[in-house]
Amino acid sequence: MVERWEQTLGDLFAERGAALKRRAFLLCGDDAQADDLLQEALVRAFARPLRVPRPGGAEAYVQTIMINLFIDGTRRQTRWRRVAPLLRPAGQVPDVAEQVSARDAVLSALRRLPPRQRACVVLRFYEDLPVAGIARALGLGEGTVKRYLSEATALLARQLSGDGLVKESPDADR
Amino acid sequence: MQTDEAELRRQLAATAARASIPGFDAADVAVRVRRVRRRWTAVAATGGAAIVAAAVAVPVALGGMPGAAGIRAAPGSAPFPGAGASPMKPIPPLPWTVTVNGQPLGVPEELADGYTGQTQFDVAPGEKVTIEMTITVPAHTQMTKFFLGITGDTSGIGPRGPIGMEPVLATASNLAPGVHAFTVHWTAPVGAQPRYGYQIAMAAFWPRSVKNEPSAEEIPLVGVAVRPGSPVSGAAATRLRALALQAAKKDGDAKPQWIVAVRTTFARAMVAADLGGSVPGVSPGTPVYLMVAKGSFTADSNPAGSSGTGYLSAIIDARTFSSYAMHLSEQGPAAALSTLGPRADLTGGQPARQQ
Repeated sequence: MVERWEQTLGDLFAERGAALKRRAFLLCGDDAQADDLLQEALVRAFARPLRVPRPGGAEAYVQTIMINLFIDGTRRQTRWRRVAPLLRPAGQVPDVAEQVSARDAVLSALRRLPPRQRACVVLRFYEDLPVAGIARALGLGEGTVKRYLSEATALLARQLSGDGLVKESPDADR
Repeated sequence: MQTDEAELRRQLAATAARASIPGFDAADVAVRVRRVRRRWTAVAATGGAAIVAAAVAVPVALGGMPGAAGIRAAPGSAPFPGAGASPMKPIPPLPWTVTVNGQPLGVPEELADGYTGQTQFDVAPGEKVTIEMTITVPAHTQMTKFFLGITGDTSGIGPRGPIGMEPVLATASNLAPGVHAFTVHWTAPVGAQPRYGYQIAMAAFWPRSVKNEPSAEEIPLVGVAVRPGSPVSGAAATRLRALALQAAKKDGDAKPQWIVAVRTTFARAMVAADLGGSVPGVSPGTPVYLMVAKGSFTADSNPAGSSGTGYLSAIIDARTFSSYAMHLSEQGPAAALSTLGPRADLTGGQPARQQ
């Protein structure tokens, strides 16, 4: 007999699995990492007997776990990344042609943002969540979210200034 | 220079569309979930010996409802879910009971939306909470360390103890087979809560097996929600329970599945119970208890006299305990009682039933 959590998991995966993967992809900027992140979030969401998400709220629950995992994981990986370039095999060279597309520019710019700011940008400009919703999802104050968004958009503007994502403000030169 | 938000949205959508479909399916996740759940259950079912209580550890008589590792079990149910489902040797059960402020069951998580989630206990910010817990260590086993405490969003096990258990309310080591009881006190925090609320949790350590199976696990027992408002006192709960049982018996079900009550104002209770607006002569701010019972009630007005699962709602004056309104309906309250304040479980010593 299929247990209730399995039914909820199956429904969530069938209906919203691809959407969750897209969010994970925006956070990680890498398809394989996005798979890992989503799978880990799903396992954590459904593994604890007392905290199984209700059918209607499963997506939001998994998304919250996914964002927290991403932020925590990024923190842990920071140290590793400092030495990772030294270990990269000589044959692996970034594909220059790939980097010229606007989409890669977006991914590349997103990767340069600190994890919390990246999460804020994805939730605000991809999920269309209001500031209050982002604050709830990330467990931050609304003021903090506004600051993160402001800093992130400023960084994105600087990095994407040649890709048509920014426009000159009339007051910019004053 | 400013960011064109519309363009950024478009670009993010286009970038997200490049993601492939998940490289795994729900069955893969389910396999991992089952593995983790089996580990959870394994904890509850493996035990150990000897005792040194570092906090307030008071032996109390065993009673109430045994549970096992986060899954409530009916009294006397011995086999643990998961045991036998895996090739591991059968794992002995580790029964436990928890009461919070004398309440043995906790209240359903939500009432209004039809969702019947796990039960939890409601407390008010700053309320001094008394938690009584018993754990039965099986014979021929040895539990090397035991922790009882409160966890939030983070929980886990480290080499020296539980992670994220703050505060640790009681510790013991080398628990001998048999019943061990703990009475501990906790003051519910006033400030911000963890996103998913508090849990009363225990952590059990035992010697690592030859198969290198997990030697320790953190087990959430029951949820505790801190809700603004006034708690229902123990004396009031006793009187309200008597009134509720009296009304329930009159309406055809002497043993309702559950009864909960919350202290609020008359106006808010009327809205929550979907009983209409104001009543002449009663101030909207009058303190009342809103009491809701779920059971198989029979409405007097029902000509067929058929009974079915329904809700009995009553608004009781908080000072005189006289009834302002009583109502039978097929639907639950219009608003979740949890929005009104900390709810009290008045069901009594009945085992929790499936809803």
